Amino acid sequence: MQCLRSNLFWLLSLCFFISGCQSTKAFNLKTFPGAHQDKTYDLHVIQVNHNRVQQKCLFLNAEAENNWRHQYFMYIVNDRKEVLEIMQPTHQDRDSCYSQIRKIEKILLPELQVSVCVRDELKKNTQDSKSPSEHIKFGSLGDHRITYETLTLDSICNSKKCLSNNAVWVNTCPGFVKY
Amino acid sequence: MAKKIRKNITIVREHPMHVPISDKNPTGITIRDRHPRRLKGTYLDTNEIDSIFKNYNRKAIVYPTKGKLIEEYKDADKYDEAIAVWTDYFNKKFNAKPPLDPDIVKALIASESSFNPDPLGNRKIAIGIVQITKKTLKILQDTKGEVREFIFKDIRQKDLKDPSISIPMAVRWLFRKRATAMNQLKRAPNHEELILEYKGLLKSNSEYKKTGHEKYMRAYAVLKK
Repeated sequence: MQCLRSNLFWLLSLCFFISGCQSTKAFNLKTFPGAHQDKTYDLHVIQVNHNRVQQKCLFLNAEAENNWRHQYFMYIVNDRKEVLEIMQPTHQDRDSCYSQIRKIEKILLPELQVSVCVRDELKKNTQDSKSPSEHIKFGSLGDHRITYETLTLDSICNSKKCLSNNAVWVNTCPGFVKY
Repeated sequence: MAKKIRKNITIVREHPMHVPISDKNPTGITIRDRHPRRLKGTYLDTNEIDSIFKNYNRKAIVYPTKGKLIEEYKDADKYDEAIAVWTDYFNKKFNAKPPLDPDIVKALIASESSFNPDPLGNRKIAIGIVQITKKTLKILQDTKGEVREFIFKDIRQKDLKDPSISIPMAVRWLFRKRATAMNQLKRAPNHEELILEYKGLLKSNSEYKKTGHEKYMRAYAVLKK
């Protein structure tokens, strides 16, 4: 009986120890339904480790007076190795786009995790909607294909700083400030 | 009977003109040489824009779809009247067949600025709610340029931050882009091709062409849902 009690004690201690040691998940996504249950207006909060985030400025290579157009993109890989593509909805000139990359780097790098608020329906890409060659490099986490249809960036925050693009929208994610 | 030719320009003969009093002109009057003048109805300046918008006959004009984008963008319906008036004005001015759909203009605004009259992040090259570039502003005011049959006059860069000025300019530019797209495609462009041409992506070989166009397509789909 004494031995059983002792074993139970050690078992409970071990469980307590394991649960205490368990770190925050590297990726966590929570969806908040949009207006009138229309998925087009869904909001999603993503808690993610900074090494799972990549950024890019895509040059749209437009013609004539439009050849300034760049578009900011963020890519996040989840724990199932699926990549979410997140865009800044409006086009920017080269300088503004790369300046945004630097500003977001300053939010990403100081802390292990960041919170990202994104908009639109979370929907997997159909076979023909994206070219199969589109892979994003995530350093030691490997190269992974974009799995979801493009979402829209609302805000990105660490515990101290935020960068938001949400002044034009009606709502933002719970816990995020609307500017 | 001789065919009546409509002129855009008339010649004004030499005439006296009031100017600020200075050492050069102590009387405050100078003689202005003979010069060309555009006739009314072939250009728009800020006063004309204001006057046309205020007095426009709104009976039976087509408005863009209301209430669909307002769930997402707080100012989505704010510019509906300007979109409706100016789309109708240019549809009639250019006798457009088929007429330009005001929802195309509304979705274009959603994609260019998310209905923000002065969007952050790109003020050096493109300005205002429809992101008109400095180069486009110049073309739209060039009396000898590609849109010489109907131009804008005395519009400054800072005026482009005012949607009541930049919306008519964008609608005018869309009509020009419809003509250039038609030249390239050898047929009338559909709404998607028209917006691709507005953004300079119609003949671009960019692999991100579709991506750069996505926001417009989404907004247009929501408006037509």
